[in-house]
Order: sequence, then C-alpha cells, then structure tokens
Amino acid sequence: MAWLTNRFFSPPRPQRVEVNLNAISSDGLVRVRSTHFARPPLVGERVAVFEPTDEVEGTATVARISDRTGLVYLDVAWEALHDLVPVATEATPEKLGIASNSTLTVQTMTIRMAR
Amino acid sequence: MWDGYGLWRRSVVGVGTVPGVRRVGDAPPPGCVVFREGKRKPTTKVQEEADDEAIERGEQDMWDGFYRLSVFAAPLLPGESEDEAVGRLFGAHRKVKFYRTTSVPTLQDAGFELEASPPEPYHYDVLLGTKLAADIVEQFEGCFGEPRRNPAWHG
Repeated sequence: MAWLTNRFFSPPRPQRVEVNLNAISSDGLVRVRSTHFARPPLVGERVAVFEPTDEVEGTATVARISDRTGLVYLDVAWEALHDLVPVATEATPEKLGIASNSTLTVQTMTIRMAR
Repeated sequence: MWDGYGLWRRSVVGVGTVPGVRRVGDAPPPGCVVFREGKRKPTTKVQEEADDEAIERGEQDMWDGFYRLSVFAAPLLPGESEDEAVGRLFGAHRKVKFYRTTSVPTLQDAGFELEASPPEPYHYDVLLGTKLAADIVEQFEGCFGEPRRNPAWHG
C-alpha cells in the first residue's frame, strides 16, 4: 500500500543539473545551458544542482530563462549547499576492483521498519 | 553606519558618484589577492563559462569583443588571512567549499587584465582576450595556486 502511495501520489523528484558555481550573472544567479537539463526547465521550478569537481550539491529555483540564448538562470540556495552524497550504483567486479572469478561472501541484513 | 556596498551600488547605477568607491570597469586596488571559487575545473567547462558570459553580454548589447571569467579580489585587511577573507569577499549569501588564489601582477604577467563588475563589491572580470581557446583558459587557470578548503565550509 505504501508502495502504491509513494508511486502515484509523491511529487516527482526534481530534475538534476550540473552547474558551474563560477558562472554567475550580474545579479548573482548561476547560468546554465538549457541543453544540460534532462527536460525543458520551467520558471519557478525547483531543481537539484551538483558540481562534481568540488563534490557539492544542493537545490535551486529557475529564476528566468532566455529563449533567445538558451541560458537558464538559477537562484541557488547557497546556505543549503552541502557535500555531494555518493549515489549507490550496481556493484560489478570491475567497480569493486576484484577479479571477476572471485568468490564473494555477502552477509544478509535484516532491516526492521519502524511502525 | 558605513555601507560601502550601498555606495558602490549607487555609483554603479549612476545615482551618484562617490569618490574612492569603485565603478564598473575600474582596475583593482594595489595589493589585491584574487580569489577563484572551487578547485580547477576541466578546461572545456571553463571555456563554456566564458562563452556563455559572452552570449549573455551579446543579448544585453554589451558585447565588447572580450571574453571574461569571474573572480573576486580585494586587499587583505590588517591581520586577515586568506581563509578569513573568503567569507568577506564572496559574501555572506555565497557558500564556498574550495578556493584558489593569485595576485593581480601574476595575471597581468600572463596577459590578463581585471575590471570591476557586478554582482558584488569584490567581483571582477578577468579579460581573457578576443579569442577563446583552450590554451588561453589553461594559462588563466595556471595563474592560480593549489586549492584550499574553506575552513568555514560545513557540508
């Protein structure tokens, strides 16, 4: 039931876009090319931003979009910027740095959900 | 109360000119430390930054043929360290995790000039020249020292 509720009634995750925090406009907004977005952004949309080199992420609001230049201006929530949280990816022998014919013993773990 | 930022803003927008307060296009004062936010980024990313800034200027009919990159600069206050100056220069509303520094003469020796520009009292544009190429961006980035972590960063 909880799965159904989450699947159909939760708000969609904000789209995630890479930014360069040095690319600031004269009014302090961060400039991003619209082509860097997975789907066309809308003014007022809340987006997740990340900067991979400094390993920083946070949120921003689309402040304005120039249709003429294709540049999108983000009002970054500076105080909410924080260290990039690693995203879990599917483990492969190559990613783990082990030979593919190695034997791995994985201990099972029980997660008890709070009521 | 002294409000240098307000005076600077008024001078920029032309409401009044206050002697001793910088205006858009001014050169930085002597003894400035120049700060660039973040670690060194891939050259293509920095080129994109300069290219987009030029596109923005073109849209505003302000394109003068020069590509620019963004830095913050000011002389250190008596007894102030670079770590302490980061918060003052980048402003209370900007949060910086890493920064790199250089001097105005180092940039000038590499052929780059600085001019004051918005958005903040310490923001400057570094003029790269009339052509944007990877070697020019690398020369600019090479002017800066190793990145330092801002001790005030709490991620």
